[in-house]
Amino acid sequence: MISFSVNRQGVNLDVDPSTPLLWVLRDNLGLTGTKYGCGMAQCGACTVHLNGEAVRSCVAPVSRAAGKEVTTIEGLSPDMSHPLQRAWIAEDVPQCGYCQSGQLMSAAVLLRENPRPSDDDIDQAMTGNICRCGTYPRIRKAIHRAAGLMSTGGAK
Amino acid sequence: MKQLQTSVLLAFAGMLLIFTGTMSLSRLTSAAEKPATKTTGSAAPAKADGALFVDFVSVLRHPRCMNCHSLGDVPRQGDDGHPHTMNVRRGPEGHGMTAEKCNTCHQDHNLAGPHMPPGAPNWGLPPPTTPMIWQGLTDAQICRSIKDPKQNKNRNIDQLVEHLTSDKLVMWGWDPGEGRLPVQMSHDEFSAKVKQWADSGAACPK
Repeated sequence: MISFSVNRQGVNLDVDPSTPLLWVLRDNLGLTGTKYGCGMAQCGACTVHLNGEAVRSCVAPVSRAAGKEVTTIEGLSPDMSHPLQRAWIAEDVPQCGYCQSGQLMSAAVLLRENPRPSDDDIDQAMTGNICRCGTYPRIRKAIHRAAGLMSTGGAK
Repeated sequence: MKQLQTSVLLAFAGMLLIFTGTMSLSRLTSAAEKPATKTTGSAAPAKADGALFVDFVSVLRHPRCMNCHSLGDVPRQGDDGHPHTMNVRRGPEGHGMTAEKCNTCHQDHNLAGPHMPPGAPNWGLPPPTTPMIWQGLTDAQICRSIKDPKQNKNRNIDQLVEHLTSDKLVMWGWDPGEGRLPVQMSHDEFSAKVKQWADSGAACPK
């Protein structure tokens, strides 16, 4: 039995400890906002937070989450009010959308550590999240917008 | 009867000669070993000139070690030591930064399969305050840097030996997972050489 918290709710699961966290989130808990991309930590589509830090859930065994707090895209805010979510909608960032939950979770860690990132800061930090639609310019724009929302007290 | 007595005496004298000769030969052999002992003794200058460090420095120069002790604030990958993909950086504590920290992808163990992230406990680079960069250094410079408490996280020689021989992240170099060359000198041989170097004064090459 493995116990941890997902989006501020406790869960107890009887699963093989080596099961990738991604499969537990999607198959056992029905949280399908997090996507499977490459399965080898190369693309970033499966990025979630583990105690606030970005983790590639496709390669992290669920045992790593024991006793910790997991946050998925569904838990980034309770009502789509996170500045990044608002900025993403305002900038109409997604095209196919498959990579976007991972992009948002990585961007959230970036803004926590660097509330006013430059273009270079964003490019550096987001390099590990691949978007095959090429929405990078809009991602960068939306991160700047979210940073602005946060700095003007726009964050809820 | 007299002839018999003479024969016995001659035989005894012969045995005495053989015995004496053997003893002399034995002394000669011992004398011949002494220079060998002296040669071992002449290892004293060898110890002082850092030859014992040079005996194992190839391990420190191996890509499994050098990829995290290379120039710049980036880790390197592969047997060719190319910069880590995804623009991964050293970060404020040597464990990456923002959404690209080391344990974003690396676990405390290797993942099975080609091109999967390798892993070991405390995966990361030396911190920026003590980056412990070896790339481009001479053997003497590497030796001095690993001994310098200001560069080696304040380790004394015993702690340095422990790090080199027992740290799980260092030992990963002998079990690096699929697609990566392990360190070629055996871990037992490396550990023995490191301990021999430390026990003899941890001298560095000039």
